[in-house]
Amino acid sequence: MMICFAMLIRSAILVLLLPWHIQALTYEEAGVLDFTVATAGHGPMKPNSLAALVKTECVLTSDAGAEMQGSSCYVACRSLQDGSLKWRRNVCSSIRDDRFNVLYEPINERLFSIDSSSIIRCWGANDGSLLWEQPLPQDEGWTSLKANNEGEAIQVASKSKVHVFDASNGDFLSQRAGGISVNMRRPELSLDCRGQHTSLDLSCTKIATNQGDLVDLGLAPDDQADDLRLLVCQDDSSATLLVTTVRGVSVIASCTTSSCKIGWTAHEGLSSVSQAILLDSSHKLKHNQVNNLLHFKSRLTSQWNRISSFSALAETETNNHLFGFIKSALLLSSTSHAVYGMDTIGEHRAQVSFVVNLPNDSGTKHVMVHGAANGPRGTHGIQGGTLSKQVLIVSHSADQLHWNCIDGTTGYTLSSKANVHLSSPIVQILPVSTSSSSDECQQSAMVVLKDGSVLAAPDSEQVVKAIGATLSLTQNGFYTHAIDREKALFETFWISSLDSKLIPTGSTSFINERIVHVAHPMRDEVISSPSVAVGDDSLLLKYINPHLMVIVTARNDSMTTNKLKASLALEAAAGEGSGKQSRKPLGVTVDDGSAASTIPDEPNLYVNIVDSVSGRVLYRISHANAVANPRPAVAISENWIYYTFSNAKTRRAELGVLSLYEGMIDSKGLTAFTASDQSQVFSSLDARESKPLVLAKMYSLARPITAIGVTMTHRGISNHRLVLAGADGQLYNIDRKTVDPRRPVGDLKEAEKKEGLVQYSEYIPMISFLSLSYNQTIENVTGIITAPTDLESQSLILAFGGPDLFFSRTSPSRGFDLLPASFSRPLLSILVVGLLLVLVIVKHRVSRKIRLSGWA
Amino acid sequence: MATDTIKAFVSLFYILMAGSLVSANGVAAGVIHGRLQYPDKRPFMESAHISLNHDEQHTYSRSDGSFTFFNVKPGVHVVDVHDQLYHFSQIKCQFLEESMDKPTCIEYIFPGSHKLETTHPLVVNALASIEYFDAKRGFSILSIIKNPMVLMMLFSVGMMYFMPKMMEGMDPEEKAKFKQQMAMQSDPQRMIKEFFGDAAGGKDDTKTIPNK
Repeated sequence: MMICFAMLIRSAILVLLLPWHIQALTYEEAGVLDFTVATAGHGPMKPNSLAALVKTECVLTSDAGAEMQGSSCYVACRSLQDGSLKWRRNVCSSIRDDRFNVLYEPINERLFSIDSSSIIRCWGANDGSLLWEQPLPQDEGWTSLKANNEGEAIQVASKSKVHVFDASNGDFLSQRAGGISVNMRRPELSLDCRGQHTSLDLSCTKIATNQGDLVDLGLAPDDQADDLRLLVCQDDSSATLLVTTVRGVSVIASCTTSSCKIGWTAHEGLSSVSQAILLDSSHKLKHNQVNNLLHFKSRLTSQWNRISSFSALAETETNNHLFGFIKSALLLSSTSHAVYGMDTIGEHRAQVSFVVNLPNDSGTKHVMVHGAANGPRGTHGIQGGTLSKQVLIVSHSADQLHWNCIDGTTGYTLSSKANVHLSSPIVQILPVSTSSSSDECQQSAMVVLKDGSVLAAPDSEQVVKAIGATLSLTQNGFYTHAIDREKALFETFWISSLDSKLIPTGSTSFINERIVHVAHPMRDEVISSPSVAVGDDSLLLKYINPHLMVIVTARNDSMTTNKLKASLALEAAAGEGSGKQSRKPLGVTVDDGSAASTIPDEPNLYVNIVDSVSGRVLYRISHANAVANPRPAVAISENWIYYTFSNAKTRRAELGVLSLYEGMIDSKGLTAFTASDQSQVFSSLDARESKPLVLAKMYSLARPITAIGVTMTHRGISNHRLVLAGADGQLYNIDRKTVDPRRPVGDLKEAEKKEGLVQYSEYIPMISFLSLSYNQTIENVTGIITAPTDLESQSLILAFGGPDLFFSRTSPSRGFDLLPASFSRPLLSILVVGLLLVLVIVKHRVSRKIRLSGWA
Repeated sequence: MATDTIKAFVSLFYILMAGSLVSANGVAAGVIHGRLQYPDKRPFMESAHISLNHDEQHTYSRSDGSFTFFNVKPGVHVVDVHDQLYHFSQIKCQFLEESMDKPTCIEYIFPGSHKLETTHPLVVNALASIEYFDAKRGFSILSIIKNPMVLMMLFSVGMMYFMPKMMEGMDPEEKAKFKQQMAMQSDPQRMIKEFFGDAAGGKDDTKTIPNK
């Protein structure tokens, strides 16, 4: 009977765990483990760019104006109340458009835009709906928009012509010679609203009212307001102001005659994130909170919180700490020259927790350094992860270096140094992790210069010592590489010491090609097994070379043009000779920057797998008819390489998958009495032995892909899932098995069935149920990073690069070690208590029955 | 009146001119017109993002569902409608230099499907609503019964109830034999010993329970 009850309890638990088997999200789960940050998309605003209030509801902004050209192509409307995005439109008609103008006409609440493809468009300012559009003669350089006083006509002007359209329906009305005179607005540092005077203070970080009160704008250090816009001026002299800053911060302020109140703040720099890191921020403390924790009261509070969390029904914060779910996102914006910290969980998730402003001189580039270079146990991945929360930010121009060491979870600057003179430009920055104490930064970097010298950043004695230890970590020495994109040159070097120059070890020049993308393996990926067991019990040995890199190159246009001319001449000659009609035209592509050749089947895109120690090309594959937009995306995970590009001929996105192996051990090759004849030593410099066996397959996708990521878990045991950012604004995830290059083309053999392989099918469906972003649009994603948690089943994903950020926690192999969010703890408790009651009653009745039968 | 007529004429001329534009490099450029609609012919009023050649050009549908691509060069072009709520066909249009105003178009209901011929100006139907979410599976008694563990448990409970009933109608000799078997099963060591004893042809030293 006891066994029976135990079975009943176990069954009840299993039934409660049934949601395990659900792969897709339920409606209720949407937004629980994921969030989206939607920005206006246009980045920092300029003094003459558009800023207007529509119907006292939303604030219309852009980086372009009626007489000032912008480059982002985005116009957006944020809610006046809370700053949430109401709508956003890419007003340019072509991917080639890099210039546009916009004009807001308030009488009829219409927005007009003209792009460099010479398309004039009219939009509804309330909802962003497209009302009408008209093409104009091209190459006129249309740069200026103007509406008449009643808003009935809109005129668009170039330097020599003016065209006038009916503003309501886009009908052409007239044209005349001459251009509109350009009246550039000067940035305002003070405004008047019916006698109410509001201005910026001298430091441009506070608003001063009529009565002289100063209201802080809450800007980070090194940021200041550069323009004041009066959005609305009420009869009672109360005004709504928009303050824009040089770092892309927009602040709404409501001012009356006596005071000013800050409404909301938006960080538009988040629309151009070029690098991101997910940092563990569990048990995060502000810098001055450490001492407070040692107080008796704090300890008592902490103990009480732990006790009370036992009875909590929902997922507690304690669990989030224990399971490693608490991460901070560090986001580096290239247009705002700033690093943003963002919580990914808790009540402040999706909010910017701190901003670190970086030097914003023109030509300055920034890199966030975190982790370590290749570990000595490099056979199972790079092992370059670190638990340190400190991040080194290196900003460099051609002759200057600045570094800034921050606590990546709080933004607190631990140490920094500016204006370090460089003898030549930087070609490589290598991370070095220093495990030490005190106030020294735990993250440092080796900075490799073009002239072959190496610098330490920070340049303290401790860091120099740590770099020396890193250089002598393995007996083979320390190697690095440099990529010259202009010359399409890949070079590798040996670094013997900080004091000596680099020693070249190899190089590869991609002649008549240009480098379009470079991908490295994930630094902290854990590889659970060095081999794969196949269906016939033999082993495939993974090629896990931590020095592997992928360089995607495209054929130079000049060469393509010459070949195209030759091809067309031949085709014309053949056509004349035979009198036959030429074949149907191929799909057309953009003229500039295209990787595509319109010569049929002429390779124009090359995927090169290179070794960053020897500088050799280990494997190279070519593709024809590839187009440059969207840019090919590449990801490396374990011994797999994934890449995508769009095909001009088939008009589809292609997904190439390469899996690399060292060799194979058959089913009887590794027993107690036999050993494998595989070499135990790997050297990148061994030209023959270092080459992998490569299996390759091409797949077709319905949508072009802009970025690829691969899920990463704590021990690398869970399935690996590809995360694909589609040009349609969706983030899909696909099981790696679906795109296995070992999928057989013919009928499946018994061993292949046993292994779970499926017959090859070119087309990979992108199923809406597998969309991580569900019905949200995540536009123009250019980067996807993943991070593990302390639970094997859970992986974190962050997509960035476009005007939207997306974060999610996902389960690549379902939540096998985690109770689902829908798990009903009260129901389980009731069930267990009920069963215990039944057990007591039954026991009592049975003993009574035995006693009675004994007396009978 | 006369001014209106002139304006209308100029406007018409402008629109016609847009129908077969000449691009900057002198190559004739065409125009793709289209309209999104629901299956019941109602115009698709939502603002859908529409791309030409994987976002080389893009536009949005207007409130009547219509959309236009200007400056289309000779070649094969693909039109995709990106809507998060409804699925639309993919359209490919071929523009030949000699007939830029009459493109030939084909429709793929989904990528990889059979092609269907379609006309220009395009009429693109919302074919289906896109489902992203699975239905929430709440607690139900039926789900408990469907669980194999519960089925096994119910079978065991049933056997516990029915076995004594079956024993009641059993012949006393059979019952004694059955009890003997059960007693042996409760002592696996003894059962194994007996089994190997039998296999070795050893003496059977088990005590038989006399029949009552």
